[in-house]
Amino acid sequence: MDDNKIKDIPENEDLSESVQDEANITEQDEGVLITAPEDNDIDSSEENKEELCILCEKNAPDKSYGEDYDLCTECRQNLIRSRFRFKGILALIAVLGCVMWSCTFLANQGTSIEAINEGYKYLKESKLNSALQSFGTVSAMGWKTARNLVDVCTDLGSIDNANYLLTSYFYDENAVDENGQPVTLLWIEKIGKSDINSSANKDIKQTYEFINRINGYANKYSGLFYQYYEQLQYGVITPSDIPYDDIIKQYNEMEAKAETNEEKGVITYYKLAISSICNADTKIQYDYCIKLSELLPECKWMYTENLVMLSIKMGKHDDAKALIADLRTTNPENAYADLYEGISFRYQGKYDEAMKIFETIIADVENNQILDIYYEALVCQFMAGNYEKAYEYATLCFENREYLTYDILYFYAMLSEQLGVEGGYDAAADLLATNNEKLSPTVDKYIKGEITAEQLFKNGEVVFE
Amino acid sequence: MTVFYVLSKILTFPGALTKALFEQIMCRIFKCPVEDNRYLRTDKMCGHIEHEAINSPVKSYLFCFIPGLLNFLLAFTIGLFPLVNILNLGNYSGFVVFPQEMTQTVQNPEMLEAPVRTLDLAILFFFVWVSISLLSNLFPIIKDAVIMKEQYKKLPVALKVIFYPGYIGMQIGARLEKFGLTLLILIALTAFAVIYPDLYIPFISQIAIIPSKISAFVNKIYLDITYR
Repeated sequence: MDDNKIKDIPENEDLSESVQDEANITEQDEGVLITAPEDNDIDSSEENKEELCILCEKNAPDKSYGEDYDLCTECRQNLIRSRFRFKGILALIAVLGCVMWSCTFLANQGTSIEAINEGYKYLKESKLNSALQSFGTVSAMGWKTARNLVDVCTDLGSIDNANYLLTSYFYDENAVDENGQPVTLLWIEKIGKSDINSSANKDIKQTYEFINRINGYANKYSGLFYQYYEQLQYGVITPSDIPYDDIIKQYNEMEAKAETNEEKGVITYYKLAISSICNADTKIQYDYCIKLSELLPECKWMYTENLVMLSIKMGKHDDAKALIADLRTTNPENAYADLYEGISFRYQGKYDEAMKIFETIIADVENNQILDIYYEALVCQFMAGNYEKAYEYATLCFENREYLTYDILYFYAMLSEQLGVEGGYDAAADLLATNNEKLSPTVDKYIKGEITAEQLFKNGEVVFE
Repeated sequence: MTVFYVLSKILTFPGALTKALFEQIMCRIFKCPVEDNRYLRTDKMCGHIEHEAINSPVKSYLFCFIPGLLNFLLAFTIGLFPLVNILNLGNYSGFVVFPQEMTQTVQNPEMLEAPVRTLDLAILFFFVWVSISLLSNLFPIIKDAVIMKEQYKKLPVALKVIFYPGYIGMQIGARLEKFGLTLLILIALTAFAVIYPDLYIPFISQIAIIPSKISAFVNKIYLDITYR
């Protein structure tokens, strides 16, 4: 050993122990590269030993490393080049494998992490739609992300999404079945999910419980509504075929038996829905909506937007303005709030102000996805007497079938004739003919001058036969 | 105390093995004879190699510092994956994907869900363990720390200032590791990290997207070369 180097080291208990250990190393240890000389050798050839390397006992020690250095150059080189242990190399390969795996996954998850960071940034700014869009692109979504997303969905009124997130990423340890017996969950079912009862989830537990209750009531009372709604959707019946009075009567009977405001609120919600699809009087719908807001005040998503439109139709523009402001408080970038504001201006006859808002929405339509905006802009320009502008919107919708509705198609046919554009009317009729349908008689009446532009509207709404 | 020390090294054997291997590599680079290259043993040298004293101040410092640094970098890279998935995303799935051919042969895909989810979870916690095992083997053995302390006095003032944080860290770490305390401290820190993720997640999530950026950059270069 190099005593010259060791002597620089202060006396230390650990060091002395270590040196002592060195002397005790025996041949039985597989990895030992230095073996202690046997006692007999020390006794028998003390004079020679000083001159020879303690390992090979053949060459003289290399004294260039110090006078007391006891290894020869060859043995020293051998010790420097001592081979690496296989298990060390194996461990390093395994660890490097883990590093590769980790980096590969992180590379794949990079976009998710960025989207989540962006989502949180939008959440801080209360930009709920943008946050929802950012979170929506996350592929590696976990319960932590889901927890934030539940809040966003609830605030936006996207209860179906909130419900999906709650059932996918959370479990209820205290859940009971229909008979009141605890539901036993396997541990495997809990992987990747969070217990809704944990303190971390206290914010969304209320939502979870509320959605469960509402879902229960909805299952109980939705049958009557969906029985007709689905037929209407598939074109089996028309709104006039729905026994509106009978349905309302049945719902009233259910409401009389309902115990809680939530239950009554859900029933009122379906009454409002059926009155809406049956085109019941605006006043009736408005009253249902007001009642719903009183029964379930916290569920703004159930009534606010309906109430805004009904207030506008009822001419209560100040109420509508307050509700629009409320929508913006929850979500400053709510494009629907802008849409309703524009519609409110249109109903008040302030077409220029309405068009400014509509054009802003159209400029960002790829982002806000409000396709109805083209219809609103068209109607606004038509009511303002700007028929050419209205025709531009109608043409745009006709060419891009994604935006096209029956009403827009009727306007396209009417305006084509009015502005003397050849082929427009026929193209609209041909399009309908492919579906065995015809243009509304109102279109022909307008073209023949039997009705005026003003007569096309009833309470601000276009009425095609 | 040796019992705790050896136990901590055995529990964290991947880190102990790589640390000892890195020490041996350093010895070879610095041309320092290795006297005993057993990596795992049942005495105070467990997780380290026995070598001649290094007589150069800088080499002595680097010998103690670099193996620990390498272990730290490996631990950080490995630990980032479970850290981001568990604490940032709360995501515990999607790491194990069976080949499409295999999934098509299974009539009910839900049959695969349980084993896949178990494997997903096992991978996450395996990575946590490997990362902790590497992190609990950052510091030199007390003998090397004592040698480094003596050699440190011979360093020029400028290097002393530069090396000071590492020097202090290694001196304290070596004494903690002597009693097997690094593992316990690390477990406590992990618990703290779990309880207060918001303290570091914004920073961590910025680092976690680096592999994705590198991947995108490499992909761009590859496409440029391929379609040039």
